[in-house]
Amino acid sequence: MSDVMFVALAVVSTASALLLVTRRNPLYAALCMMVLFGTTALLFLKLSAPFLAAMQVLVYGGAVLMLFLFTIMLLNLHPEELGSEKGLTFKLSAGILSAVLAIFLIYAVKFSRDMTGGSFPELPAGSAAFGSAESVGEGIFDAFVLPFELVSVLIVAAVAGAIVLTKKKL
Amino acid sequence: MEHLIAEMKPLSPVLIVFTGALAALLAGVFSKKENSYALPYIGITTVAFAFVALLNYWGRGMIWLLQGAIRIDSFGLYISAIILIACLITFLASIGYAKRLGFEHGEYISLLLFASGGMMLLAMSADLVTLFLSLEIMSISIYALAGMARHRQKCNEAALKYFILGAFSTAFLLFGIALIYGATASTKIHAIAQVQGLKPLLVAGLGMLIVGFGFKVGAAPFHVWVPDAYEGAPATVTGFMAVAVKAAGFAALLRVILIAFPGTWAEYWWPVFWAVALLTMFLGNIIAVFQKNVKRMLAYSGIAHTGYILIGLVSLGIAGSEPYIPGMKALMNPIAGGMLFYLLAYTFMTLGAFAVISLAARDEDDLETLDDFSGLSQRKPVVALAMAVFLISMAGVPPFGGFIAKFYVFKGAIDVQGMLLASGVKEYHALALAILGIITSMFSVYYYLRVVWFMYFREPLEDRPSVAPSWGLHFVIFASSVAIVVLGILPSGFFSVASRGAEALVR
Amino acid sequence: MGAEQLFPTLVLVGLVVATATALIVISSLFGPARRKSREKFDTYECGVQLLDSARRRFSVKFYLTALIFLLFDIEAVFLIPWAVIYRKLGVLGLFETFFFIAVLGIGLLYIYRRGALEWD
Repeated sequence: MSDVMFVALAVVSTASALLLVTRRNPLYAALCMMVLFGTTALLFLKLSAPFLAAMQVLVYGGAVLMLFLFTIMLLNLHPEELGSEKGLTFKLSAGILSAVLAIFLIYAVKFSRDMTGGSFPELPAGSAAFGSAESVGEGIFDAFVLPFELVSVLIVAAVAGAIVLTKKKL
Repeated sequence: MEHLIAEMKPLSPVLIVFTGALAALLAGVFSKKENSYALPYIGITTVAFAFVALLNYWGRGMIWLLQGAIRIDSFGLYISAIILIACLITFLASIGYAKRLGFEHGEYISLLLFASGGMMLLAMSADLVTLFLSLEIMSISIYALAGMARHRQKCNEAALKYFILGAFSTAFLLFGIALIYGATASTKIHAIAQVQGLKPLLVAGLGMLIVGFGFKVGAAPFHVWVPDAYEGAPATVTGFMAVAVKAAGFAALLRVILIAFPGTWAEYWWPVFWAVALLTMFLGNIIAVFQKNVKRMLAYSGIAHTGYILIGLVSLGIAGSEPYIPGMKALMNPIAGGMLFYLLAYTFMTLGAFAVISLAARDEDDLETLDDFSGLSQRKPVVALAMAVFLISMAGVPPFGGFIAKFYVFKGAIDVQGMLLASGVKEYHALALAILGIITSMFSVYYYLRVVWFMYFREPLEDRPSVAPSWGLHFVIFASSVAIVVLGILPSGFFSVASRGAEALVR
Repeated sequence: MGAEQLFPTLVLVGLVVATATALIVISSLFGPARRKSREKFDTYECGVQLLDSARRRFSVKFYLTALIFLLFDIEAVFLIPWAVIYRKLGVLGLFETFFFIAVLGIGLLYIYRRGALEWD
């Protein structure tokens, strides 16, 4: 049951990611992205990280995707404006490079497992509540308090940057 | 809570910088437009306070903060000092320049400070999560800064290209961090070093990190963004980008590579850096020869300088992978010190050169093409002399700081080679790199001196109306050229400071 | 969180899908017969005539608004874990969150004064 679900999610998310990068119409690409975000959220849920799954839907499925759509509408490229299609050499080399990277990573994961006798290092909080909002909060407000505060600084810097680049009257 | 406040105290230089950034942001929107000339002074004051706070912690040994998220040590403080100097010089050079290009507002000052604070944290991070967030604070601020002159098309192009490629490289870095966490169950740089045995996943993570950092420091083959971003961005921002981003990127790279992957791990990474350094030096120097635009030429020369600094890392790797050779360990600190000295010398010559470029050639464009430089010695003799000092120093000609910096780096590689040969190891990688470095350095003399030749032996093309530079710009050009001369004539004091900075990485 | 705990969620998802499918099927079975005509394909079948194509270039102001929303959305994300365990964290957690929000408050003040929330 669990494996069937994982395989189904993995196939759908990989397929939607592939479709995402191969669509010429940016709106279709955004649609594929939505599917990708949804399946990724479900994968997080399966990996017992419900908080991350909820955030994936809220932030990526909601806000980030909306930002993408606004950008697409801002550019609003007509098919004739999309430019000529990339040549076969480009596509082929991109495909080969991605395949090499994928094989390398699969090999790395597989080989690491063999070396350590089938077990990856135990994660710090291996309990059932590992990915819950509580345990994330315990991490944020204790060991990772500095990164947490840095997020606020990052957001303010990003706001200033966005306004200075896009606001008409300054 | 008290202990948290107490723990934050050694972090005060960074906190001061971030507070200054917020203050500049608010001052920009709450003050009247005619008072905006005062905004750079907020930045200057902030940097001065931060520098004093920084000096306070120099020589106090290592301070671990916040459960190992931050390690304040001589290395982090040294790099932070370089970043603050670069930030200060940028503020001074911006007086007048920012007004002319229409970005004399709080955001400009604020983003420069945000970027500096992020860079300082990057140099002090002992945890990959903190490292990633500080890298993002730096990068996002710099993306926006690169597009500061909004009405210039080239500037928008620079910002967009830098942003897209930068985001792509950050993804690699983040993927690398995730893989390393997957292999070691820790994001602490020091804990990663404790993992025993060969871990392909860890090697994969290391590879991704090298891609990510290679992009930030502008090493080939991850350098393609550099020429466009440097050419399009306003000259003051370009100077800051060239110097501070490179220093911070190298700081993070050195800390992660040398602390998380020390000793015999070096066998995995030094061949990679060997190839990268070689490619970087050759590509940078050879393409720079063909540039007609001085800003673009300096971008390629910046790539070449990255290559020279990487020679130091390769020497460290070769030395670290042969720990049984007696005397090899003793070589490592001077090599790392040489790299840090190089970063300091590079700071002054690059910022000085970009300050000269920010003098207007025509109405508001930067002093860019070679033709703009023709006859500069007649129009502005002092500025031309300073530019000649910066360029000759970059070419590595004595008696300037750039020569000494290159000397230390090449000497490190040759020392390692000598030690290898003395113990019977017949491999010539270090020597080859040093010799090829010297050869490519000779190419560079041509394109640096070409600008000098244009300045001194060409008649000015026409009477170009030039804007009177501000006192800040004059001061920057003067101070940088003095610093370059002092670094060249009396390097030993600075070198010993740099070596102390390197002590935190390699003893 | 195991698969058993996800069961109610799965039931909910199943119910939603079933309801939506049932509504479409029922209306196509019992509704009036469809005739394909030009009006059927109009955006507003019995409303005003369209003035222009909807595919026009949008103003960059939408983008700025969306970006500001995204950034404060991320702020909300970080407050959820705090809200879940704020009793346990006590004063220290309150202090940390206050600092976080204070920095963002300055950001918001800046946005407001800059006029980025206005449609100029």
